[in-house]
Amino acid sequence: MIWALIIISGLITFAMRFVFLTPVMPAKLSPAATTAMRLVPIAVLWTIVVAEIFLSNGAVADITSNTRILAAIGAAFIVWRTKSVILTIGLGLPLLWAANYLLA
Amino acid sequence: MISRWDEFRQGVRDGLPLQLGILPFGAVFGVLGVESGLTPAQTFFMSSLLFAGTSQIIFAQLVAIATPIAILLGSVAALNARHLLYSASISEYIRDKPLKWRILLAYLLTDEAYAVSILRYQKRPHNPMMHYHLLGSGLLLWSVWQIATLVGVLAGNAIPEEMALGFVIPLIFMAITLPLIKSRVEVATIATSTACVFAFAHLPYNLWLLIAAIAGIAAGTITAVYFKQTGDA
Repeated sequence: MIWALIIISGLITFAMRFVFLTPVMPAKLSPAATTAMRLVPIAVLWTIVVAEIFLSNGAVADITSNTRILAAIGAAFIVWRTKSVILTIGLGLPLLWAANYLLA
Repeated sequence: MISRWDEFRQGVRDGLPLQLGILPFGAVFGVLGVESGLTPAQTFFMSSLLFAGTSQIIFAQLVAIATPIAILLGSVAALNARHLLYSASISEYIRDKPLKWRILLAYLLTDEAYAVSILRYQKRPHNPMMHYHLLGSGLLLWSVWQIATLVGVLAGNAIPEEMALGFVIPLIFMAITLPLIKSRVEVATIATSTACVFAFAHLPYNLWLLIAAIAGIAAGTITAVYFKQTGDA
């Protein structure tokens, strides 16, 4: 079952990578469609960020004991200053450990 | 005249710095895949069968919480819909290449490979060997991704839960999305998505994921149309 889902997901993804490389599709999207496509990664990835920080077991987690919020604020500052994925991981994760240790 | 191997090597060189981010990302996926209940083989081969990092992680997480098939496939499709844009964008440069080339390059068309090769294409739009650049950047990323996944799968059980490695995912995604916020269009997108996560968090089947993503895209697009900022920005 899982194998079938992996293969179908792979086929869907390949189809989306390939579709505009075939002559049957128009080479140009409308400006609004182009904008919508450009916003897809921002919207989806940001939604996951918010959920990972604030949700726990399908509900909004108690804000007063949620150390992920503090670590995320620190990480946002690191992103703003460095724009580096490596530094964001390298400093953001220890921030969470520190928050968990200090506030436990 | 640039030879095909020069162009291939240039693609590899241009892609190299990005592998710093790919390695830990792939390893995290390997760890999370096994933790979420996938077998080591399923986790490892997903990296070549699906070969799209973010959606692989979402796949694993949705399997872990027993999400219905339609939601799972819908989430993967929504997450990877951005590849339509990459496909449309590079078609101008490689749509005249033979079918086997287009199939191979479509398979290798990830965020990072696209990002470095489209820059090269825009600089040298009439280079007949340009497809070797994407082959170089794409194959490099593919190889690093397979190795990183394997490392994660093998190391998975050795990492204690207190390390909270799952938090690496929102960290990576913050580092990707925050620098993309450049105007009220993106602000409208993330503000709407954020509000929707809180408003719909209680819905079953992780429906909030699709609702918040689609609402955010709609809000951003409407904002862009209203302020006449549509297009590639």
